[in-house]
Amino acid sequence: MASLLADPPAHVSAPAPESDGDLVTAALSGVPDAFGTLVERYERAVYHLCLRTMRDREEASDCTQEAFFKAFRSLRTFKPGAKFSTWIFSIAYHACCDRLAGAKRYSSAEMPDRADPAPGPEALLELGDEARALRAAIEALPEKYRTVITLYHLQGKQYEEIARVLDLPMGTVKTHLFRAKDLLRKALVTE
Amino acid sequence: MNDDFDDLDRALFALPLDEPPSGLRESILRATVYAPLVAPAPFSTIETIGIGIALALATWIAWLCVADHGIIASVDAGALQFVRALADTETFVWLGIGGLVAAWISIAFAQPFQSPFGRRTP
Repeated sequence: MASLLADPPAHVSAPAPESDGDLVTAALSGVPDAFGTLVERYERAVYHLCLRTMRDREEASDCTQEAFFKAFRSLRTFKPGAKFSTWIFSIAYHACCDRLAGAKRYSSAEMPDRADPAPGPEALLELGDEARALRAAIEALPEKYRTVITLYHLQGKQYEEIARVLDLPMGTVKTHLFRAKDLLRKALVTE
Repeated sequence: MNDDFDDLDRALFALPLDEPPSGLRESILRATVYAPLVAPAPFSTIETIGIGIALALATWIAWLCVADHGIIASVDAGALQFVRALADTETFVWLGIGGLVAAWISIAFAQPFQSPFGRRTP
């Protein structure tokens, strides 16, 4: 299955003709609209990732803004040929981790397995809609699985890109993804 | 590892992304591309220090000149001696000799080297 971002997008707003690499080059040469287009292209996906990681709309907005700000400041370090989506997701994910570590919700050394309160079968039934049930089941996943499944949702079966964003070995990403899907399926079957 | 999650994948990829709050994009753009430019400092730190030293030196010399008229007199005498030296015939002779030597060296060594063993073929 193609990536949601590579394969244009129900999720991403109007596709611009230029490639991300061209837009980065244009932004570096001082074209303000170029970075604006990149923001337009990835704002929603980055916000989605931040929201899934932070589970708070205000914090997710702050992290999204921080991610784009950091990306803008370090645009020169973007390697030509690399995927902009992987780069911006990585910045956003690390911004979220820093914020969470700062809030002492997590140890900064390792993202632990957090037992999130799952919305129980009744709550899932109340959602009615399959999509909403799936969304609720994702919400109920432990942090590490939720992030992997969110990136899988955003980037498709590009395990290497997911591994790059999370700074994890590809084998670990595949294992987390398998467990995440297994948990999701069980949660949806229970429903 | 059995990866038989086709239905789940379909449902997952059909999920819409969360809608960011209105105004987030504008806020990002205001903080990045449309952020007010901070005017760069006209001089680097080293240049600023150099200018400061030069100004301090100039102030000190000016103060010396104002406070001690003897310095003005000695500077005046030095300048007068220099002008007199330039007007002296002996100085002009030595200047002429120096100029001629410089011209000779320039002409002698600016020529292409001729091999003593034969002519160069074009």
